[in-house]
Amino acid sequence: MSDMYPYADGERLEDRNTYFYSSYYGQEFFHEYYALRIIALKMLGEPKKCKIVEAAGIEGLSDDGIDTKALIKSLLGLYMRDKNGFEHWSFVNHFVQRFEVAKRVYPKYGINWRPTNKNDYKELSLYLLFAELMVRAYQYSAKLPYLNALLKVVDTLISTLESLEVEQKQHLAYILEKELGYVEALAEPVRIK
Amino acid sequence: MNSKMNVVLLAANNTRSQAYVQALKEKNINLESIIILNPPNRKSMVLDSSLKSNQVCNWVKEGMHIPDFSISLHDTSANVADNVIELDASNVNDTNIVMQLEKLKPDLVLYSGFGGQIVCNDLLKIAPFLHFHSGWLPGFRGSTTIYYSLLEEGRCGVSAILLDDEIDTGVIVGRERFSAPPYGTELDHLYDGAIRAHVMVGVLSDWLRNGEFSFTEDQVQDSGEVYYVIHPVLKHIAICKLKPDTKAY
Repeated sequence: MSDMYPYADGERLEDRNTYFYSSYYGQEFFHEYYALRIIALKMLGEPKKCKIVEAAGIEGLSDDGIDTKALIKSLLGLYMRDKNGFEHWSFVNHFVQRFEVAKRVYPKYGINWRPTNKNDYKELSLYLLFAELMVRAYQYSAKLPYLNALLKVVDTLISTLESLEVEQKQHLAYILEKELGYVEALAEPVRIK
Repeated sequence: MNSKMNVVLLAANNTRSQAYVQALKEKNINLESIIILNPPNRKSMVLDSSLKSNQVCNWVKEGMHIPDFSISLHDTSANVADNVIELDASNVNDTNIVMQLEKLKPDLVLYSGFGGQIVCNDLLKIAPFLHFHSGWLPGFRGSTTIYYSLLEEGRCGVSAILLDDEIDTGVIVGRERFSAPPYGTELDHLYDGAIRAHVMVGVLSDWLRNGEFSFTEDQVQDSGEVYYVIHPVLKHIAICKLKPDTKAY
């Protein structure tokens, strides 16, 4: 348990981080963050990019609401097709808002973006998909809310690391490497390593 | 000043409200009433309120009050309003608060509430609620925008808005930019409180003098970025990038 970086310790799907008024520790904090991420990386195995298939359009929307898996997969597929011409940011922003409020990802949302079953939040593959969405969103936009959400969902995923399957661990390793790259680039003048 | 205006400060007992009331006192602005909301189990905030003498205080503007958090909100409030009401409440939308405010019939409510709460329509229909957001609107909506502003622009802003039923989308009635503080400045309470209070006294003085806001700008729906509580990694980057001590790393 790290006093300085407790955000990925414990069961963060249950004992959720709020990140309110987090303490400032100076440069030491970066050493701790970086060291803990590297430890996690070593436990995850070879980084492996998840397979994304180009999408023709938005999927996962119906009169009943939103199917998270189908919608995120189609958004990822549309990123792949359109790159900088991606136009579906409002869906991405809804997922960010929902995750930031609950620190959970639900498989189904109603048309008002409220989860249809608040007890159904343990499907880790959805957290990985959301993290992948944040990787792409930050890559194509460089907007900090996406990196912010990425850091938080990675905290949650690391805290559940032992429950991940082998392929999921490899996918998380890929996401984690992306996160570290983004953080290093942003923090370049203050050197975090 | 138009002394006939009935202005009520609705103040959660926190450092921001301390900064507001101290700034009002320093400018000799008297309010009709102050309602202090005392949440249960409130921890007293102990901060070094004085700026370090070796810091370059480039962000401190002329006439800006630097709050002293060792002085209680209760004590200063008595110097600013004859009618100080203290309520036990942790939610601004408590029925008791609605009832109190209805009785006071304010022309304007200065709002310094608890973070993360949206003021309900029952309160908003009593009077305009004037809120000071520490972010330049419409660009920086949401939470902890001081840090995001520092990361993205190397400076901060405060916007005065009339609250509506969404987050940081109301009519803008004042705005001001502030330089980044030097490394070592306490940001969450001292810097945040001081810059918000500075804009607050300016906008309120203007309204009291003229009976209306001299600047208004509607916000375009969906413009700007919405930010959420900053992750500690980004917060540390924002702080470590502050000058001049960054070079020490």
